[in-house]
Amino acid sequence: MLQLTDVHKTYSKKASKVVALNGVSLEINAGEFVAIRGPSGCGKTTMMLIAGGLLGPDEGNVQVDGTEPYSLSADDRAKFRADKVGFVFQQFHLVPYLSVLDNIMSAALASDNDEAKHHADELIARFHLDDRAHHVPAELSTGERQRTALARALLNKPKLLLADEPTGNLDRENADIVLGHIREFAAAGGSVLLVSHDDHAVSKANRTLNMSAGEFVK
Amino acid sequence: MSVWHLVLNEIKHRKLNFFLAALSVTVAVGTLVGAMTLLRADEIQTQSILDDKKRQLEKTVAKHEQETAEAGKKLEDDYRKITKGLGFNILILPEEQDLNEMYVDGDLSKSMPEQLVTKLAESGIVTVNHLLPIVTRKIEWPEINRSVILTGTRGEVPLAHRDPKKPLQDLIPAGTMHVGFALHTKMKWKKGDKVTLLGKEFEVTNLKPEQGDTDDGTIWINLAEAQELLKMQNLVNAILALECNCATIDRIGEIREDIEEILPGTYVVEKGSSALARAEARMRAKKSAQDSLKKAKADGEAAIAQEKTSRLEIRKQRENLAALLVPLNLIGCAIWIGFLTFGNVRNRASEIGILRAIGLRSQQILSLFLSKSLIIGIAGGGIGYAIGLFIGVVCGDLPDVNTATSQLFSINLVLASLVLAPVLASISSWLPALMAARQDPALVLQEA
Repeated sequence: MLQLTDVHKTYSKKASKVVALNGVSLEINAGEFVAIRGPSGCGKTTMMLIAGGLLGPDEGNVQVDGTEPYSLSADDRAKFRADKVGFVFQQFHLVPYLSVLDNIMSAALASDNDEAKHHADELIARFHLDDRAHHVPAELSTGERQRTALARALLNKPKLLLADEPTGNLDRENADIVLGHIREFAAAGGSVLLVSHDDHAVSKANRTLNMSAGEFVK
Repeated sequence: MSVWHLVLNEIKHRKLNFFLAALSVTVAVGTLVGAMTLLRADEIQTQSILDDKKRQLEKTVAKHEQETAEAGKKLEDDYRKITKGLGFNILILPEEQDLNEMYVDGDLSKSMPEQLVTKLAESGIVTVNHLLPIVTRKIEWPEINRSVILTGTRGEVPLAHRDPKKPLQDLIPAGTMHVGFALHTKMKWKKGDKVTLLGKEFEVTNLKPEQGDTDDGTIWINLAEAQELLKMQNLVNAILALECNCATIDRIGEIREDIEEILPGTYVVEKGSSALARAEARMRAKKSAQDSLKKAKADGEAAIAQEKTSRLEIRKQRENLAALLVPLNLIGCAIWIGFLTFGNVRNRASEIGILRAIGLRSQQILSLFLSKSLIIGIAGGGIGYAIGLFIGVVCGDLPDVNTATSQLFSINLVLASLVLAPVLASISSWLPALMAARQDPALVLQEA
């Protein structure tokens, strides 16, 4: 489903250069939940953004569900993200003025999802957000916010779910709920790439990789 | 779910940002509409003032015209009455007499039979009162070596159908002479002096007072003697008719009609009289009144023209001021909207990042901001127009608020406000909106 081959990425800041990824290769199959563990700044997030079609690599090849996102135009790549990829972040990144339902539905703005409303209602029910459907993020608990963010990521039924420290701001109970939903997604045939330094989160994955200084380590 | 839903919710969420941007557009449109409405109010007021002045002038002129017409009518009536009362003098001349000769030389070279005067006296004519047949000729007086006008007269011929009236000019007895002022003063003649004219002796019996006309150089003798001296037996040069009376204002026309019927081959001219002079004076007074009215009218029209010019100058100054202030205000407001949108873009960086990440295209991000600008423009344009109109109505100095509102309201300006304000807002926020659309979502999400 996801295939990264010898991916390199270097950030240039003034005179200095920071190597974020140094020849990383990774393959995640459909229904596989892969976790990447590593300290801050080791390149986890960079790899996730590259995998999601948001950040082009300097070198190497990226394929998602048989598509090379960086060979597409910007608009086609946006459409590709809308259809194939779901994102979950530690900071939730919910739109502050939209209700739970509207935040979930915002993902439909970018796709041709005719069943978006129906699917959104299903997700709300599945993630136990029924009584919060018309509340704005400021009125939600952190667990509810992350569940809302996860529901938004899953609205368009993506092939690949990319989760960057999804439990970083959650307590154990809420973290388990969110991780449970992620596992369910993988179990239903979706591919998951989770990056975290939280051992508990990583422990829920089918496969765990360690990363340091832009490379996988044992 | 649509972009509009997102835009409207964002506006509700960030009310202050929307309020400040809409306020800016309101100020811009309000200033523009206010300036244009005030100029329009000024135009209406100018027209109203000019119309008032014009009406006032027309009223005054109409009143003066009426007064002048009444005065003229009265003068004509007076003239008729005075002329009728005082009478006037005419000369009956042979038709072939050259009038230029009479007026220039004081001489009459053509003659007609003396019996015509008798025919006229017996005709029953009522428009003439006193008839005096005369011969008159400019001659060289060899005994004193001077040019004089010799006039012979026999006194009044009584009208057959009336009682003889008192003669206006006494009969000059044979052998006597009346002498004009210029001549007797020059010659230092006195009454009783004997003078010889063309070999015949005359006694000076009357020294005429100064008249200021050809009479001052004239001598009068008996008609028969004059006819003899001038070899004009039974002929006269003219018949003088004095104190004529007519019923109509066209007195000379009336008399000509009468005389031509009785004495064909003659011609009638009016001889100057005091009544004529007075009538002429009154006619001139009437003309003077008309001229005065004409001048008053011209002055009034000039005052209106000056008022118009003056108000046009004021309008021009206001237009120039508006032409300076309005664009400055528009530019200021555009910059302000740009800053507000830029701030909005910065505040929404994370939101834009995630929307881009979940697949929204850059055009959709651009439309998020431009749609908001459109709403800001429509709201600000509508409110701005209302405020501008209110300013025009309140400050336009028009008498009645309802009338002023209906006069100043302009559907074209409403439409222009509702079209131009969104355009202004969209142009102002275009650059920050473009920055938002081009924002790198990866960078934003990494920094968050």
